[in-house]
Amino acid sequence: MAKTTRSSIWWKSTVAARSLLLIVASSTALGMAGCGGILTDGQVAAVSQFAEATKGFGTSPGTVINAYAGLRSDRALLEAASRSDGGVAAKDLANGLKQRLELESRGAAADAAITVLDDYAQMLGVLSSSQFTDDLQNQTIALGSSIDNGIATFNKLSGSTLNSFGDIVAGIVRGAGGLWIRREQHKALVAAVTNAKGPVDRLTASIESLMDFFVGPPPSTDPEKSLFARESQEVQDFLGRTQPAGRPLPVLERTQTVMKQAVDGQNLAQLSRRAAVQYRAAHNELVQAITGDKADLKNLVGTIQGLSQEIKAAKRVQGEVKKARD
Amino acid sequence: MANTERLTVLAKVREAKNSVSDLLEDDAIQGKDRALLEGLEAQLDEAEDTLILGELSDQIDDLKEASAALGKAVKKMEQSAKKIQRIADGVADAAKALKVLADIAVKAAAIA
Repeated sequence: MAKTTRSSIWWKSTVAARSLLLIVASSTALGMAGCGGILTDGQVAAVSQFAEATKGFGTSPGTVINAYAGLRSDRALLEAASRSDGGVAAKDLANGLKQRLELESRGAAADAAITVLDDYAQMLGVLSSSQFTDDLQNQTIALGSSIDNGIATFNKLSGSTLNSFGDIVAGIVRGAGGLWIRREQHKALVAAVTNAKGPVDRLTASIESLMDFFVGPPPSTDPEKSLFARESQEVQDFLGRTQPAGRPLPVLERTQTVMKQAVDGQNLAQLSRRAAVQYRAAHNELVQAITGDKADLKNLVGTIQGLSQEIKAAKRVQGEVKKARD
Repeated sequence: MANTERLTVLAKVREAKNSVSDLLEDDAIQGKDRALLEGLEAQLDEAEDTLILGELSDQIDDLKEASAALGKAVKKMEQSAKKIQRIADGVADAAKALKVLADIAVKAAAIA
């Protein structure tokens, strides 16, 4: 009698468990209905690579502006040293300082505007992350073990020989739930890269245009069109003037430093421009790979690697520019 | 995008600065004439600075607009991530409910 009661309770419990499983499976099927597919491993890897490669991309334009700000105030110093009129020398210093402060505030504004690219990279990483399904994996392993232990205890207490099915239940929950989550991730990523395409194109074009302003539009190498080359030329021209106090070594050293900083700043601006172009190209390929218009993942990986190299090169020069200024 | 009219004026200012700079390299120009040229150069510097700041401000406004548009896309991504998390939590809750049922069966067997 007792055995019957235990079996009856177990039966009711398993019926309830199956019902719940059915609800989960139905919900999963409903959730997946109408979805376009799941992310392939290659797509996930490409998104992760893109997110990783573009981390910290947003700081170069501000560094370029600040590098120019420093040059402008150094030029004022050297220009003042070449003046015969003390009043004009004072005006040079005031102009240089004022311009430096104005430029630095714009550098900060540029940095703040471009931080959004880092946020975008971070969210791409989140949406392509395996964290959602990894958590589920852990939950379902615990579930399977718990059911198996329960059946073992039940068999022991009741003398029954019910077969364990914890692994099957866990597998169904993990499989169906995981599929549902991955389909939702795919949908979210397709929507994300599609929505971001226009703004990313515009943002990178704006960075490109900003860098053009500093170094001249390519393929121009006209020093008159580069703010950096012009600053360098101007401080060299001061040496052609009769200096009120001759040309002491500190003035020559300072001139040389400014010339070096102008070259570094110019290089950074050119690298930032190249990185912006590469960013746009890589993002466009990513959009095509995720939305299914084009699935040439090999080419995409190559483009992202190129982007990563451009950003790393820009970061190296950025470090040198900052170090020189400090 | 670049304001071509402003850039044209900037190029003219630079040409004028180059001419003044060439004159200042002439040692024969001294005294009041030199001071006058130096003052003119400082004024041209100021004009150049203003034009550069104007151009930079416009370019940064463009950056800000594009940044705001991408910011909206990022917000939507955050909402999507929250939705996926809710789904993952829902599936995990269902798994927990199944685990509770298994526990109940064991307890029932122990009591009966």
